[in-house]
Amino acid sequence: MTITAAPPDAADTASFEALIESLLPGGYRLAYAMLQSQPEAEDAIQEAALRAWAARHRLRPGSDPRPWFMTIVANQCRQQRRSRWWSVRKGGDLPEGVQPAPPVEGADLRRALARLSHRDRLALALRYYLDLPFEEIGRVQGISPAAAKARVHRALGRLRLEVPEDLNDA
Amino acid sequence: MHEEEFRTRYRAAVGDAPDELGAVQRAAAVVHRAPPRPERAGAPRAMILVAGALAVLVLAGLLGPRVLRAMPRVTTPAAGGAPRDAPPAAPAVAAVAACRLPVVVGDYRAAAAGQTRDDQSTQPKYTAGFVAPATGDFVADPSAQAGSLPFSRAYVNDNWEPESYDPVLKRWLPARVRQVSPDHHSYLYFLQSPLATGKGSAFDTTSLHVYDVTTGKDRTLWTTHDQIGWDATWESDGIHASTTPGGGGRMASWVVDPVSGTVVPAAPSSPPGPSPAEAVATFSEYGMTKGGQDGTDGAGHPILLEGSRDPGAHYQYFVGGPNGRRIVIHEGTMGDAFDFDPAGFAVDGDRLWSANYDGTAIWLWTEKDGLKRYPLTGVPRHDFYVIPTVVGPCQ
Repeated sequence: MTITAAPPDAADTASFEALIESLLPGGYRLAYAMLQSQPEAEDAIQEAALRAWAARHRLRPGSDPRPWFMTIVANQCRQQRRSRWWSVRKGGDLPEGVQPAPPVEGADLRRALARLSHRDRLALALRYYLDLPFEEIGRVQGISPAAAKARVHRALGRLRLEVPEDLNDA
Repeated sequence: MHEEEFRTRYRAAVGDAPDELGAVQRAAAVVHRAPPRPERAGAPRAMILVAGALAVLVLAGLLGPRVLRAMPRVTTPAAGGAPRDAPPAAPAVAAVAACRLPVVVGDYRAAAAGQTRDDQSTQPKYTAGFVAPATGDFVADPSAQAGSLPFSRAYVNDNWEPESYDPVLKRWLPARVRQVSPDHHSYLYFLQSPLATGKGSAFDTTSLHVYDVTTGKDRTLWTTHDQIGWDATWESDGIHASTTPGGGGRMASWVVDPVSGTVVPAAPSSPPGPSPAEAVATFSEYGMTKGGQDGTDGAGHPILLEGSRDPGAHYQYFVGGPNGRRIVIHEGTMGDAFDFDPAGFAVDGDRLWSANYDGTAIWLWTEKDGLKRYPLTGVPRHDFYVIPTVVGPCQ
């Protein structure tokens, strides 16, 4: 990717870099959990970082920037998935050029996850891949902690119908 | 299946994110080179940008009136919006040996079994009651009913949910502690119109309401075509709320006068919002890489969890103090015998209360005395789908 740069304010840039670099690992992990593809997760996190830069003045005073950034990443993942919706329609086949997910274990569960709605998949990724508290899951999804709990459990219920053998008794 | 079992299967299915370090470094490099207004070279991207700009112009023409309607409205003061009485003094912190702790037990078993929100039988069930730390018994409170109290609704089948117990009103409220007015007379809630079914969440407007429990008067403070965020809080200078356009887009922040309904941007200065340096101070001064925020303490400091939930992983719960100081609540190893797994925190003066996710314990923490465990009984134990939550101070 090539960027034509105008010289930004140095202090502004340095502080934003410090902020964003602390947020990138979590953002990348979320993108990978949502997209199941390293190249696509990289694209998503790069685009999200640029969007965060453009929107940096919208952070509320005193607010935690991480839920804000995770929301940007999640929205970027949704946009990218929409652009390859056909891959889901075809039953989870991966687009050309995308590396297949390496683990054979849990293939049915992966396919079931791919068929969940964006918000359900996001709730599960935030809870079980990023280990976030319900309070923060709610902040990322724009809902209350109680609603976040309900959303996670509803998503589990939908998964259980798809892969009862993986979620027996859950 | 326990939650940890599912987590293990989920992570095995998804796998580890490959080349995390490289991916992050490449993304950081992109940011490093980003100008204030990113203009990326390359024909496809340039074409997309030009097409996007044209689309924006067309949409602006088509949607202009709608956008204007979506601007925040200044509503006229409602009748009964008289200045509030002086706030009653907050009750003193009660002695642990003699107090009762309000707890809501959320049961998500039916919700997990249901497929849509249209089915009333699949709604989560909430049981509100009190736990006496001295005995550890949870006793359901039959008075925890909706009665005439209005509550936030976005879906047709949304039910009343006790979200806090107010120590001044002595009532269960369908609003969180920070959504109650400083004088403890009123609380805020939201309504979406039309209410959504389980198949979608399309709406025309959302409105912010204030309900005065002492007089029974309900006022609509603000109606907008945007989505008002659930995280609105009632602060001393007004109600802080965020909005997102109904079709998605950038979030905006507002302060709403709880008496007049006047809506003003939360950060009217230019440029709005904190500088990136200020934002850095709110997060990275604690040097966190993995974990999340789990509420705030009574002074507004973040309560943070650092570490993963991998069995054997080191974790630390702490209050983020000034200048990067960590005030440690507890640190340990995931899966250790101490079994500290708090389901959120409730502020009680300088104390923090929490219930363990597995329904086995109540926790009390103060900076002075550290963490204390009280056994909990009367709540289903080790049930993946049942979560107890402390929702107010001990009284």
